[in-house]
This record gives sequence, C-alpha cells and structure tokens, in this order.
Amino acid sequence: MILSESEARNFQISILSLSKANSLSVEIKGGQFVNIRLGRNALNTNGIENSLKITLNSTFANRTASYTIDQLEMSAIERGLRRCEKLAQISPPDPEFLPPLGPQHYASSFSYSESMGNLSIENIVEMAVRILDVLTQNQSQHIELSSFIKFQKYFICIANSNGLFGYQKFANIQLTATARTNDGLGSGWAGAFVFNIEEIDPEKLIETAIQKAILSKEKLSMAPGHYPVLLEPTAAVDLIGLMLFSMDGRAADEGRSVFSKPGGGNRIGEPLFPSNITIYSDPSNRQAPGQVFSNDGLPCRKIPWIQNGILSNLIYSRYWAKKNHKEPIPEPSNILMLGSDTTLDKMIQDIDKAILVTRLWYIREVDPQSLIFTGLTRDGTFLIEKGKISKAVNNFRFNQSPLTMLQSVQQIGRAVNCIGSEIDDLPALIPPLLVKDFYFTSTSEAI
Amino acid sequence: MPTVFSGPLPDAFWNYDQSRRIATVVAESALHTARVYGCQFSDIRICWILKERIISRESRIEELGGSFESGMGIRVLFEGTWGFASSNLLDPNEAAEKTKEAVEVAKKCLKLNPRPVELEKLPQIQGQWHQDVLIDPFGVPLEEKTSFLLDLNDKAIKAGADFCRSFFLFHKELRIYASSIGSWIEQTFLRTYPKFIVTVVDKKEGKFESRSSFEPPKSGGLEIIEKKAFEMEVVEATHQAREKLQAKPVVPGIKDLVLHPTNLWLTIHETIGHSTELDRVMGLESNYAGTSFLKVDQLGNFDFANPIVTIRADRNQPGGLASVGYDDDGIPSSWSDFLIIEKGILKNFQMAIGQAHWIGKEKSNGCSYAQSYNFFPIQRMPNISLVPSEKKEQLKDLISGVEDGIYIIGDGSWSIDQQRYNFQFGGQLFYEIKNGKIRQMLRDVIYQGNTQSFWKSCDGICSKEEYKLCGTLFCGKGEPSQTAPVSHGAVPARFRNITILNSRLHS
Repeated sequence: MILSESEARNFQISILSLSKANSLSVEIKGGQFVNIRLGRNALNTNGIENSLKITLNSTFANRTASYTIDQLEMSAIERGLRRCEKLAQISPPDPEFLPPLGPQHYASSFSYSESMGNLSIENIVEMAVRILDVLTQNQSQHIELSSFIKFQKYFICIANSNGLFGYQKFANIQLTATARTNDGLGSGWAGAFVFNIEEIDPEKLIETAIQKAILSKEKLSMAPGHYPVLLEPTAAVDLIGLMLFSMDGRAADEGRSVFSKPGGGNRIGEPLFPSNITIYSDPSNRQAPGQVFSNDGLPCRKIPWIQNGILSNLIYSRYWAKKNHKEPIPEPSNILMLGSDTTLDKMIQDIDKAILVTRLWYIREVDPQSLIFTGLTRDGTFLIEKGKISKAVNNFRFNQSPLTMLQSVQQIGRAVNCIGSEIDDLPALIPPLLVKDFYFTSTSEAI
Repeated sequence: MPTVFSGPLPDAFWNYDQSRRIATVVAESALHTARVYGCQFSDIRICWILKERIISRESRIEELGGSFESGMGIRVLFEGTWGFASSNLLDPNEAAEKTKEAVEVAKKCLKLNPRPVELEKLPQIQGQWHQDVLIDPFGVPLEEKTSFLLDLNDKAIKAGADFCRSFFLFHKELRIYASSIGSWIEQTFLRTYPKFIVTVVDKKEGKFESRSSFEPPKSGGLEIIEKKAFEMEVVEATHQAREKLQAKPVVPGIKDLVLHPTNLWLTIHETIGHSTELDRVMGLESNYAGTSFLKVDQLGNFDFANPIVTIRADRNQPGGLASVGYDDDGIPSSWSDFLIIEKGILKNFQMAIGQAHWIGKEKSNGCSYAQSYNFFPIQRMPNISLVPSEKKEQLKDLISGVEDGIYIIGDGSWSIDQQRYNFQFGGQLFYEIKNGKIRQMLRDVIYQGNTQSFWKSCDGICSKEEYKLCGTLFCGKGEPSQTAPVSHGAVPARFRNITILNSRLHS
C-alpha cells in the first residue's frame, strides 16, 4: 500500500498522538512488490505483494524498545504501541541513549518517477515476453534462460514526537538474467537496477547474457595464482560494497577493524589507496539514487569515503560521534565510484594480458583483521590477450582483500549502473577496474 | 527494575481460537474465489508471527525489539500456470480480491509458460502439529532474558575479553494451510537462537581475535539452552580467543582433517544439502543460487561419497529447525524421511509438489517451504544429517589415526561455487594433530576441496554417542530471496588429504 506524503503525515500524527512514552519514533514502510521469475525458458514463479509495516520506537527516560506491526487499524496500532511501551519501561537503562532527533532537512532524490511508478503487472509481464522473444530469435544457439524481474514501488516515512518528519518514495526495477548453453558448457549473466524506465533495455541485457554464455563454452584451463584482472562493474561493486560496510568508525576506534591504527585510533586521513581512487555516496545522484535519511533520522548527504586515495570518513553512529566530537555519519544508501571516460571495450583494447572477471559469487569474509574475502568467479571468465578477449577460462576461487585490490588498481573505466551478487539492493555506479594483482587460490569446475 | 514481564501475550496478538475463526472465513473466501475463476488447484497460507530480538554488547542492551506480523499468501494454478498474491490484511473480502489478483497474474503469465505445471495426486490432510515447548521465551520475564545476556557479557569481560556481544532471537508462528483439495492444517512453530561473540584485542600489535558460541539455533523454547554450560562456555571462549592471538599460524599443505559436528554441519549443508535440491539440478535456480554438479540420470548410481557415508533427510528430529508436521505444500512429514546418500551412493533428490515427474517418481518428498505468508513456496531442505557409524567409534579413535592433521571445532567463513564443486570453509578453533595426539592450537586455518572427492576421502565417522544437531535460521535461496530454517545433525568425522591454506598468507 502506498501512502502519499500528506496521507503518511496524517497517519503519523494519529499514531504519535497515541504515545504515552517520553518520546515515540515511527517508521512506516509500505508498497507493492511485483515479481516474475523465469526458469528454463518459461515461467517459474510470480507474485504480487501488498504490504505496510509500522515500526514503533518508544522511550521512557533512557529506556527504549521497538515493535513492528503490519496492522492498519488504529486499535491494533494502539495495542502494538502499548506493547512497545511496556517493553521499553522494563528494558534496562541504555547508557548510550540519545534523545530522538528534532526536525531535519533532507536532500531531494530521484528515487521515484511517475513513469516508473505507473508501471503495472502488464508492463512487467510484457518485459518477460520480450525476454522470451529474444530467446526465440536465438533459438539456434540452444540456450536455457533464467531471469528475474522485480518491480518495487514503495514509500518510507519517518516521524517522531520531537517534530522530525521525512518521506520518500521509490520506484525501481531490477532485471537479471542467466543464459546457459544447453550442453551445460557455457554460462553468461547480465543485470540492471534502474530508477528510470528509459534506462532498461531487456533485449540488450539478454543478448549480452547469451553472448557471454556462448563465448564461455570452450575454456582454457588456467592454474590458480596471482594475475592482472579486469573486473567488470558487477564484480567490482561487491568487493567495494563489502568494504564500505566494514567501515564502522567505532569498530576501528576500538581496535577491531582493518581501519584501526596499531597503538590506537583509526586510519582516517591516511593515504591507503592510489590517488585515483575516490569512492563516495550521494543519495541525490540521478542514476543511482539513495535513501535521503537513515532509520534513526540522520540526513544522508554526500559523503566521500575515500577521496583521492585518502581514507576520508568512517560510519559514525550518533552516540559514537558525540563521544568523539564528530559529526554522525550513517551507512551509505548508495555506492558511487569516480570513473573515467574510458569504456570497458577500450580498456580491453589497451590490455596486453589479463583475466576478465564478469561476475563474482558467494563472497564471505575470511579474516576481519585484514578484511580478506573469499568467493568465486561465475558466468563468464575470460582471458584478454593483445587487446582482445581471446578465450574463456575456467572459474576461480579468490582470497582477496578489497583494500589490496584497490591498492593495485592500474586503470579505471567509465562508471555505470550495476548490480552485484552480494550488493544487490543498493543503487551503485561503479567503473570497471584493471587490477594489477588479484589472487586466485584454486580453480572451480563450476559453469 | 520490574520483575514481572507481561507473561502470555494479549489475546489480540495470539489467540488461537480467534485466529482459527479468521483463517476459516479468509480461506473459504480465497478457495471459493479460486474455484469460481476455474483454477485447477489453489492453496493459502495464513500466518501469525511473533518475533523478539534482544541484542547486547558489554553492559548495554543495544536493541530490544519485537514484532507481530500476520497475513495471507494465495497460490492458484490456472491452466497449468501459477499465480501468487499476498496481503497483510486478514479479511475475507481482501482474500477474494487477492485471489482474483493471483488468478489475473496467472492468466497474464500463461503466454510465458509453454510447460504447464503437472501436479501429482496430493493427499487430503486434516492435521495439526505443534512444536513441543517447555519454556516459551515470550512468557519469560524480559529481565531474565536481558540479565542472562548482560551477565554473559560480564563474565566474558571479567575473564579478559575486550568486547562481548550476545543476543537472543525468538520466532513463534501459527501457520494455517488450506487447499482446494480439502486440506486443513494448523501448525505452531517456535525457534530460539542464543549466541555470543567474544573479541580480544592486542592494541599495541593492532591484532584482534574472536570466538563465537557453538550453541546452534533450534526449534523449541529456552529449554534448548543449558544455562550453566553456556555461562561456562563464554569464559572458556574468552581464554581461547586470547590463546588464538598467540597461536601458531598454520603451515599450508595437504593434511587430514577431523571435523567436529559444530563445523561439519555447514559443510553438509553446502555440499550435500544444496547440491541435491531438484530445482537446482533442473536449472531453475541458475539465475541466483545456482545449479548443481549432479544430473538427474545419476540418481541411484552416482558414487558421491565413501561407502561409510549415509545422509538422511527428515522432518521429525527433536529440535530440528525444519522439523514440522507438514511442509508448505501440505505434505506430511512422514514423506520427508528418506535417504539422500546411502552407503556413498546418491539415492534421492529433494522435491516440492509438481517436481516428482521430472525424475519419474510418483510423489514429492515434502521439501517445500515459504519464508512467510508473502512468499511463494519453493523447494527447501528438510533436516539433512550424517548417519552415525553403527560401529562404536569415538573422537579419540579418529584422532589416533591421524599422523599430520587438524581438528576443527565451530563454523567460520564459508563459500561454495554455484554448482557446489569447490568449497572453502573456516572454523572457530583449530588444533594440530601429530602422531595421533592433539597438540597446540593453530590459527588462520581454512580448508578447500571438491565436494565429491572430499566425501570420498571420509574414512572415519563416530557413533551416535557424539551426535549433535546444529543449523541455521538463515539459509538463502530463491527470487525474491527467502530464508529458511534448517538443521543438520552430525558426529565427528575424519577426511584424508585435504588442502589446507593459511587465510592471511593466501590473500
């Protein structure tokens, strides 16, 4: 269920008026979520979800509790609120308690457009039909295609008894597709996460996935080891995103992060990366818009995380920021990396020899001390020789820190919209990265 | 601080009789509407879900939150094509509306579906199943739960930890299932997850180490936690984390492994659990979780593991997170008791309804689950466990047969490729084994392997005395992604000639 800003405001006023606590914060999130899943060239599952959730956060002095309900009737909300208040009253005092924020100014965002918001289930089915049409046109290629289209239209509204109010609407589409050759020898993937309907081209995406599948059929066996690697944005975003979410200022200050300084403190201000690395978040970005407020009401603004290679900021909660006399900085609501004008194709042309990694998979932290992640390549890994993709190669497992990866970046391409396999719900603009030394520890037979 | 919690929840939140009355009118409305619109089959899941999470660090409760959610999900089969719609409003008119929406979705999707769904003959069930619970955490005073966590943290700090985070997650659910073939199933579930993570820091050297608790989430109430043992473990864990700071980094190489059930469960989950899901084998998960190295024609003849290895699926182990009376297709759990691997040979795949005919079988085996009312039910794991050896065999017997190896306790980092060949796992504690004896603690150990060769290398399995059930609440699969609770039982087992890496050297 979508509430307009005025409907949401009135709803919030009604809920806030029920509070018996010292303060109440309320988040309302609701929307319509439509999905179609294709498997093996046909419909697999589908669904339409209508939902609305209300999260209440009540405070008595420095005792706090939260309660989430999905009931709309005021009597049910009141029961939920009384329960929340009861929990808060008997919860232990919070030594890190801070009163809820007062009114804030939030940036504007391009997270909703009428053209996207007006899409219907018919439009989504039509997109699926177009996908299967591409498959029909490529019948001779003997492809098995699976795809997922997710259309979500929703709003988030926050308010509290100190006068804070924030409202934001979102409408976006995620389309991903995996093409596999019928003989099981080739696999290719393509995907998009867009907020503007004009920016999605289902036919092009499916053709890309099919071409990668066909190209990856005949593989050269390569041994594990250290290689120069060209990471497509879809692969790069996962490692960069996982690094960003490890950038907690408190953990760093407490000595339990790769961003901790030996002897105490953190590494803000240190040139950890080459000067061509700039990573930031900015919810006002047009192509990859983010949420303009955090759950606790902090404004999300443009934050450089790494500026010209220097570690510029870490995530700081309100409490930790106050204790350390800093500005609070919420988690990023989008991930943006400064790129160049060089396209991926041009980068390939300029490479003498490197491995092209198009996608990563099942990435998990191995060692928090050095922020090493493991994972695998998937759905198209290729060898680039003398400016061309010469052949497909086997998939690899990597054990790699995003820090050392960024430290050995040699060239940065044009930043594009992308969707990772781990970072799959955060809007992102990431360039392809040519990395001098990427470590593959073993090979994988998987296709 | 008040000593009395609210006790049982207010009726309006959890009133079984009232919920049943609501479910009756809602289900009747949905199933009737589906019939009127000419659906071949329809079913509805109506859920009431209570959750509580208490997260603490050191002397602070970081988060105290609860939730109450309810709603319905309607699935219709129209001319061989599925349609699904859900709503959080439990009302007969809404049920009719959502059923119409599901039918409309199915009709629109007809053109996407050249392969009509073929359902086997499904059993008509009138049933109830209720999780056995001795201590319902929702009825326990809040102070008892928060004090337990804060005391735990305090014990860790006093034992020398720099940080200790601990939490409780509780999930209680009433799920009512009804279908157009006349099934009506009422089930209640309760899952409890206690956990702590202690961290020690050597600020001077800029190093830190952590150790997580071994107690897994289980079905049941607070009785699943042995309070004293948990309190003792947090002290022991702190000492072990300190020891890890000074432990010898592992020297990479080929070594034998002895895996404790707290580590082996996750290896079973990733290598055997996921590879034997029929929807993956058929390619239906290829766009997300992946496919499988297994092929349909390997059923009954694929040499998956050493002949001493037998893997059983079930939905009735006490405490099992996937233990239920009926799955989300309305199939009784008696259908879910089957061998996946028998004496090393692949014997069966996991199936939801509509899949059995893909492999020439007459019926599925009760492996369907939907995360909540708003998710389409898909094929998910039942409990999948390593069958203990019938021969009396103890951990010390396995260790005594190792010249150069490592004993691993607890789960750590985990990752496996999309066809379930190549895996890499870590752990919590690592001990060197030399000439049949456990020696010093090691650190930075990860092991890599290939599923089939790993299970072929298994040459020792303990007997049932050392059986332990572990598991996760958060197994991910499907699009939209769904989490599922699942347990895996295991005994200590030995594996020969496994590739060992040092996580910090190999980066």
